Amino acid sequence: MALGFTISKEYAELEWPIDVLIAVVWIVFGWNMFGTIARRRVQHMYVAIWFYIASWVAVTVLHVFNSLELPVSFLKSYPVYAGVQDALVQWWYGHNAVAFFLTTPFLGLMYYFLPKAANRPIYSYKLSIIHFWTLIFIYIWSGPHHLLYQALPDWAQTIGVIFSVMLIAPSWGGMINGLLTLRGVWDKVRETPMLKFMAVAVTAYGMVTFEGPMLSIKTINSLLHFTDWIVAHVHIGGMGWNGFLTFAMLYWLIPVLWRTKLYSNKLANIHFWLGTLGILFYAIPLYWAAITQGLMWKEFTPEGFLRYPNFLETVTQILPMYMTRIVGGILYLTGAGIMVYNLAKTIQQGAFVAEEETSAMPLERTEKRRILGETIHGWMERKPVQFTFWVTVALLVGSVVSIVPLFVVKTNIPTISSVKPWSPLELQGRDLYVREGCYTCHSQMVRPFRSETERYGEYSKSGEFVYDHPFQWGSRRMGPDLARTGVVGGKMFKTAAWHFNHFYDPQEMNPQSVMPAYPWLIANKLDVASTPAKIKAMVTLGVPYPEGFADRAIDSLMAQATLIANDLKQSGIEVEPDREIIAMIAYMHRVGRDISELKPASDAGAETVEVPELLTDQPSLDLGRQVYTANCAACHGASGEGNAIGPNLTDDYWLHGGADGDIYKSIHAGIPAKGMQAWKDLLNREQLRQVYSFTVSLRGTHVAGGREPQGEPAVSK
Amino acid sequence: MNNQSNPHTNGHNPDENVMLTDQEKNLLMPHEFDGIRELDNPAPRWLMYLLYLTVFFAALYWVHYHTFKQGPNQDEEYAMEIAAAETARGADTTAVKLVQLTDAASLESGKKIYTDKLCYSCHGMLGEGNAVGPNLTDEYWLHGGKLENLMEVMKNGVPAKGMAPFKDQLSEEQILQVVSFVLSLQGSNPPNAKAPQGEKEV
Repeated sequence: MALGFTISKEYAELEWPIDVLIAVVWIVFGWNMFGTIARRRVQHMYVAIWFYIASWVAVTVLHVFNSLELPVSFLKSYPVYAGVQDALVQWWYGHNAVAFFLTTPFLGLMYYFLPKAANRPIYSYKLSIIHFWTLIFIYIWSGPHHLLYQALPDWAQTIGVIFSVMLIAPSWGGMINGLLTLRGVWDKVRETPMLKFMAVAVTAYGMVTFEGPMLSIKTINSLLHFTDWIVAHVHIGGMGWNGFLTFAMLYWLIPVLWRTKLYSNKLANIHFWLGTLGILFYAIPLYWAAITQGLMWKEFTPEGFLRYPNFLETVTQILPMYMTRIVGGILYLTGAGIMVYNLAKTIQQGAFVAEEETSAMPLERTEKRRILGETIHGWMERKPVQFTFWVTVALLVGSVVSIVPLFVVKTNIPTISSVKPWSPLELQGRDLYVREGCYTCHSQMVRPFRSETERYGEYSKSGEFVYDHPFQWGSRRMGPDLARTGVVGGKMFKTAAWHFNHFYDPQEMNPQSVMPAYPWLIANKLDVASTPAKIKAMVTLGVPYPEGFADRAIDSLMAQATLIANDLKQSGIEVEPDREIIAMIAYMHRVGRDISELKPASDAGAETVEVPELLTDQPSLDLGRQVYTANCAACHGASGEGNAIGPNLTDDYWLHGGADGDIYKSIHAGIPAKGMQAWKDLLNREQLRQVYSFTVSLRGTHVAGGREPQGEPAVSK
Repeated sequence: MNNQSNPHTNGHNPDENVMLTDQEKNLLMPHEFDGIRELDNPAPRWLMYLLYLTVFFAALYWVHYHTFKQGPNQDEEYAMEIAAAETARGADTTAVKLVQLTDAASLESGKKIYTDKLCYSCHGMLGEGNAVGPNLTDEYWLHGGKLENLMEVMKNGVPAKGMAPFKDQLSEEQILQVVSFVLSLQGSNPPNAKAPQGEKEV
């Protein structure tokens, strides 16, 4: 979202104050709508109203449950869900926002404007009942089809597949009822621009609602997900169905409201053809691009290597298609511009009807119960409260059954012991990743295909994301997947220097790269002060940081940042450790790393730590001192003398054993209960070895002014 | 049904304006909304069959994959795919003789690989090195300058320093080609060469 204020959930990017405003507006709209329904003068509620009731109820539920977030500051918040759960809730929302914001209300509009303009009765009342109820009941289940072959339990994926397939007929019900209503007046369609728009809109709707279920078949999805196909698919929906239906409505409504005729049918026809061509020029190249790129990602050479291991090749290949797409967009917009002119002229020549005389009789009180010969549905059609109740039930069944098990059944997300919370610096880096909108072009989800594990590394597991508020799986790969950039020695690993240069100027690294430069990450100072509040928020959301960690968070952050800045210095790059780029690099070096540090399960239980050989040469000890100063001095004093937090390291008394191996183990695994961090999570093996050697060298130096002895006297070695 | 229909709504009388066949007149529902009427036609049969068919498919799908677990889940599918690839790769184990190549064709392929694999983004277009990677044209090597050393570095990389392993992307022969190409750059003295790093080796 603009300016980086985003929670990165697609179609729900806005931050919490705006979420609250949306809710307020929506409630006001609902109040007005239900108030109007309550005071209606026609007993029977027409099918268009059913769709509006369903839309309002569904969007309310979707918006509320997807936007549950914990504010950290006025413009920053974290979703309460993490990882897989966040992904499932998000796509339950994302998919159904399309359904209940762009489909059902528009079906309601179609059911009003189409018969009005064609002056024909609706073809089948029975069909409208069947397709209304099946549509709203089935639609709400099918969100997981956005997460096929991803780190979502198989049963949930299956729900996404089968309910999407079952959705074809209910969706088509609306199209068929619309098209059959036009039966007998097709000559009128040829002559009336408004009906032409309507016919194309309904056809586009039929096409999209066939394409959706097909894309939900796992085999098809495995080729086309993360490509432009989805983009084309939604644009047929947006430009064809929603756009054309809106144009049709305006062409009909404006002349009626201003009691006049449309200024120019000819211009409307030109608009129609520009719009239709625009859609074709927009969508067809994208379909082409999608298949091209999808196949390139998957192609292997006869020797068994990826044919296009360089992701960039697959992007360069489709850039010409993007040019055609721009042409399509321009055509479409030009058409819309012509419409605005046409409608403005129409308004000019007419006179607005401000108030229409009430023509319907006031509603008479009727029997509450069913009357003789009345069908149940017929009875419900005059009882808005009952009707709304059953709509709500229909919507909640699928929502509850497809989502709740993921929250209550633990085995759905197998825990991975090596997966740890983000360090403060990485968390800040992650927030920058969200702010910069990296997820719009980069996924973080390696699917279980050979073509992806060869390209990116180990495929993603659900247990890896348990501390991710929000999840960052993404939905489109303009750039390569980034789920494994933190795996040292992995296929996606890049050094700190590489990241630094790449963020500064991607084209210098790869001349054909389409990635924008992010020089401000280097110039901007990181908002270090926000760290404790962010850690506290994470603790509230259930992330297991040690007690009181928020107070030490800034020290930990600066320590890690100093290490990265030192690393960069060795490559000849001078940068202050408090710059945003440092946090970003820290994050890039952590993403997907934890799983690679998982010990083989063979020796379950006792984790054996291999104690490295002690270093005694002065240069190594100096390096050890650097690591110590950056990480340990805050709690153990500048010379190991100890302070109010940590014990003295220079006397002969040790709390957790004073032998070389014991000291190493304390550093390596930490003493989490007492606030000593497990440094294996933050330091690499070489650094651990250096700081361990340095600490051993402090032993017995008895620095003056040290803290009083604690623990047991060390066994002399 | 009730007498809620009102022919005066919005000034329209659909029965007058709409061209209806006699058959359609018999099918008109009694209710009306702002002049819109509805016919009591049945839903098209083919559409209903489509609905039943998809419901049947859905049930079958669930039973197949989850009740009787007949189909593979995605982890099993992946394992099968890898196993199949391993089998296919097993057939292709032609030994490559480890001797530096000097023929123009091999060096040309080596150069192409150097470009395709973006070696230049860290080692420069001419092997001169840059902020990330070392100079490849001088006599100083961080990990040994013999053919075997270079082969090793190319295959397994130097992960801690950002050099990627290429054994999963290039065949033995291709690695030999690019290594031979790199060795052919020795002493080319390109402009902007990075200062020597590592041990001197001749």
